[in-house]
Amino acid sequence: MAKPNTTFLYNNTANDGANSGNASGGAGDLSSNWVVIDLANDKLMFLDSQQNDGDARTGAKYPVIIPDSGDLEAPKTFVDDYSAGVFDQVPLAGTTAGGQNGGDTQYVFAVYFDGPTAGIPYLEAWDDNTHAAANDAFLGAGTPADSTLKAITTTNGSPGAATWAGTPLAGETSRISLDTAALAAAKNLYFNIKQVVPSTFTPEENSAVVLTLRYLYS
Amino acid sequence: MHIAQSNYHLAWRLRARFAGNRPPREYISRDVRHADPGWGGEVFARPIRRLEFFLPTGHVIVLAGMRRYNFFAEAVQNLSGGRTHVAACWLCGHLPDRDLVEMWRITKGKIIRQRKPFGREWGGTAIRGWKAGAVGAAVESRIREAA
Repeated sequence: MAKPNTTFLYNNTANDGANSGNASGGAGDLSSNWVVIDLANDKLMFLDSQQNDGDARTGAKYPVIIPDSGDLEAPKTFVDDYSAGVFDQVPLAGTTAGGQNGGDTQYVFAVYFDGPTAGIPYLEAWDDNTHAAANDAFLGAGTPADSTLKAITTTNGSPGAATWAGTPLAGETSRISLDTAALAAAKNLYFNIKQVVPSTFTPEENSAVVLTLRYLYS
Repeated sequence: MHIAQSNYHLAWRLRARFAGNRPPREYISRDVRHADPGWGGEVFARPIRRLEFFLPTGHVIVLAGMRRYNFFAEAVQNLSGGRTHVAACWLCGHLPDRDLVEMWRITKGKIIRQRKPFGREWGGTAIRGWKAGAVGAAVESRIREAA
């Protein structure tokens, strides 16, 4: 049970198919297409509907607009693909409350483990890469239930609802397990994520929120 | 995990001492901060009598008399980049007379001791990698100065 290698990937099509290419990604089931995330340079971005798939990453960037009332699910989700120089859309991210093709779909984001683990892997969100605190405004400002980032595990099935609520992400207090048991062998773990911004939201200026994978090996 | 420097030659290593007098009488891991601990890949021929984890301060965490033993590293990988790093190490012993697990977590200058039900040690689910212990000896779960 040596330390497994992990690879983050996303499906940049509206086709709900599994990542059959494992760590390499590429063409997946049902005409899906899986792209490996460059952890050093790429970024996950929740943006407004004005942003289009393939827009240059050096061009205009349209942030989510805080609603006058109620909550707003970020209309579109992208990966800022550094090497390709574009915002690459993740059409199946989020729910039907968003502005793309999200909903009761299973294969959106993946973490591929090339070997077993000693315990269940978790996906978490923290203020920064020191993992010392999860009090950023985007993570609920100290109230995990108010985190704007909400995720759901889809490793063993779709959410079951096109408007899934998800689990607010904030440190170890509020996180998602990516499977139901420790991994016995190499495996793709799947999840979906959305950002929901309430009308009362005030963002931080210098936010450096990170998504973090936590797992065990021996 | 912030890496403390130490000249103590066993620091950050795990030692399992086996029951009986036949060799090998013990197993010593590599430095678990920089290499795979090796625990998961080892197949021990005899049950473990005592499991020790050595700290750079010259102290050692000792588990003995347990029904089963386990050891693992807790790793974190950020989606924003940087290499995977070890956030904590865990030393575990399944108590002989109760379905509880003694768990020691060594992380960022802190050592936390806790007990969890066997089979629900990590997020309410089971951990893998248990190895048999030699029951019958006095139960021990403590930190002491290394000899």
